[in-house]
Amino acid sequence: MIWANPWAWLGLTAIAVPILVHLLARQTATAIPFPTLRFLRTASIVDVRRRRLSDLVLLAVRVLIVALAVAALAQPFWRVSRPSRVNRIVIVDASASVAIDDARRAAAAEAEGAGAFLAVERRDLGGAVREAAAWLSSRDGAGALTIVSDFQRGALQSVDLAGLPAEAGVRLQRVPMRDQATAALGGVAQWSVDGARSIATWSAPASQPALSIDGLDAATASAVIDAAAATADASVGPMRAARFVMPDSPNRQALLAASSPADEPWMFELFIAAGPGADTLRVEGDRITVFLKTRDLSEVAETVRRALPHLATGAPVAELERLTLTDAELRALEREPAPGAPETEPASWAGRWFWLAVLLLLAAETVLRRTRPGAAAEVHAHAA
Amino acid sequence: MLQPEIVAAIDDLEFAARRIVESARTGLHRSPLHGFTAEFNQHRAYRPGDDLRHLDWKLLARTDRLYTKQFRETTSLDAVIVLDASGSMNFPALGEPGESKAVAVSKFRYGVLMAAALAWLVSSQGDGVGLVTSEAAGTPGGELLIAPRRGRAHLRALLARLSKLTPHGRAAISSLTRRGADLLRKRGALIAISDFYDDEEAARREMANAVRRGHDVTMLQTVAPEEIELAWRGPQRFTDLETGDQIDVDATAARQEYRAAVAAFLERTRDLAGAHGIDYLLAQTSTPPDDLLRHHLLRRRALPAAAAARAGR
Repeated sequence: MIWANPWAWLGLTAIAVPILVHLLARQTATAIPFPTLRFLRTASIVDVRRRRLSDLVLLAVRVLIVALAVAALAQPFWRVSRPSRVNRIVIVDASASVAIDDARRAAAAEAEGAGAFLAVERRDLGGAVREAAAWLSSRDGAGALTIVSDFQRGALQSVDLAGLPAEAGVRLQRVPMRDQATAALGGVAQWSVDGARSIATWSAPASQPALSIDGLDAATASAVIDAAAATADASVGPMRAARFVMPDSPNRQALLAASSPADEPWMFELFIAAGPGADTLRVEGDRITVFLKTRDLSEVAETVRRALPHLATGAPVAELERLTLTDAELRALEREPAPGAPETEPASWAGRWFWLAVLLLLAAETVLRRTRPGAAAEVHAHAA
Repeated sequence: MLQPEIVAAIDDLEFAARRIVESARTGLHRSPLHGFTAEFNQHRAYRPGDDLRHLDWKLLARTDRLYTKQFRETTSLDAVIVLDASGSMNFPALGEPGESKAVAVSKFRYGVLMAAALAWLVSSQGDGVGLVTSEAAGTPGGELLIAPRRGRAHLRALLARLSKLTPHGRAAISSLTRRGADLLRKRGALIAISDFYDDEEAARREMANAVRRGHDVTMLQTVAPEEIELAWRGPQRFTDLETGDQIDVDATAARQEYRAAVAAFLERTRDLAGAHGIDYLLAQTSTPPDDLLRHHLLRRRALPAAAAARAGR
């Protein structure tokens, strides 16, 4: 119980009043002088000790009345102690690599049981931590920071967390990186996540394979190639040069003489995949030459299309391994928030109970006063 | 009708006594011959203006003539008043907490008034009056004895002594009664004023003795309404005014039994008084003293034969 008005306790000096009354009353004579007791001796006798006891009870009741009234005036309040609620700020790493939906879900979960709560999405984690430090300092009570991120190396360093208040807690919540299926990442040929490692494969600036069709004019040839490439099931990557020769091309004989037969398995696969449109396949340096036997342009496009996937070399040009912070490193950066002072919530005014007790005791005092032995003698004047 | 509290407040006892007597007499036919000790003597011719009550109707019937009875003043009969001045008479005491002054007429004060009135009455009839009472401790014997004598000066002196008395200690009304009887050398009137709480048996014996010796004995028992009714509520502590004993009683519970006991006592006292030939009078302090006196005089006059018999014995 807390007392909002402790000066009222000075009123306890008023307890002296009923005590004085008690002491003074004992001195005054309360016996009634009577001519003779012979007629009274037949009646019942009241024990003298009961009188003294009832006087003490009355004194106790009066002292209690004064004490409770004083206590009520001291404005008592029930103290309700709760563990303090932590103010929490969540920084959601909004950089491109983070799966933002998972991050937002994780951030929302952090609001559970918090006092004041704030979630921000930022790309610059260092700057965001400074913001968070300012916010936590402005709030009373314990504070904590949660960072929801994929924690790529370099995004967050321990020095960034130094600006936080010493008693603020730090929690680092890892979320997965964005799914590799989304291909809207410029320049990245392949993206795979292997545990804590992500592997990105770039290709050289995507260029069309060095494809040409001999025996057709340039415009027709590019149209056919475009049509084939558009529908080809081609992974972007380094491609071998390839030349397709129309049957009625004037260079056919010369090219035949200049090239040599295919000798690698993938060449044979290509020839088989090319289908009925291909007559023969020969190699010239690092260039594949496919001699066509069809004159139909759509069949030519079809043959090119079929051949394209087998022209990819499948070799990564560049591989960059990006590392995120390990779990151990994350745990090292985390810390628990220092517990704040327990809250006192003045719930209900407890004074009403004290006043109720005072009223009940006043009633009891009146009853006791009237019924104790030797109460004020009331003599009715004899009716004349 | 004089209110007791008003009369009690009159400091001059002689004045109060005279007021009481004159007020009592206004109810009676004014006749100086109708006192305590008058008796029928002879007839005389009726004179217009005579009180018709004193007409001898039997004689009228027989003789067809109007005759007034004449009362003869007997040979003077002295009177001695015996007054109980013990502590029990000092109730209700003046200044009782909770009482207003106007109500506080103690039994003793009432007894003093009645004694004074009687003394005044007797003296005005030309008879001698005396007083026996107990004086404050310290005086030899502790008794005040004033032999009966006639005359104004004696009356004044007697009333002066009377007005200075204060109730105290214990009373032996029996010995006072004997003293009083001794003071009456020849036949006289003895009036004992007391509550007769203590020494009741012995006092009655002495009074009966006095009657046997030929005196006209009256017993005036003074009581206060408060002690008859016991109007207190709840548990109380009572102190005996004479002995100082204390007793704790629940007044509410005891009231009925107490009242019955007191009533029985008074009844018994009256009956026993009558059986011994003692004239009995119950004087409550709430009764106007003049009414009491008048009532008593009327009663005595109504029984002139009995009075004569008592006086003549």
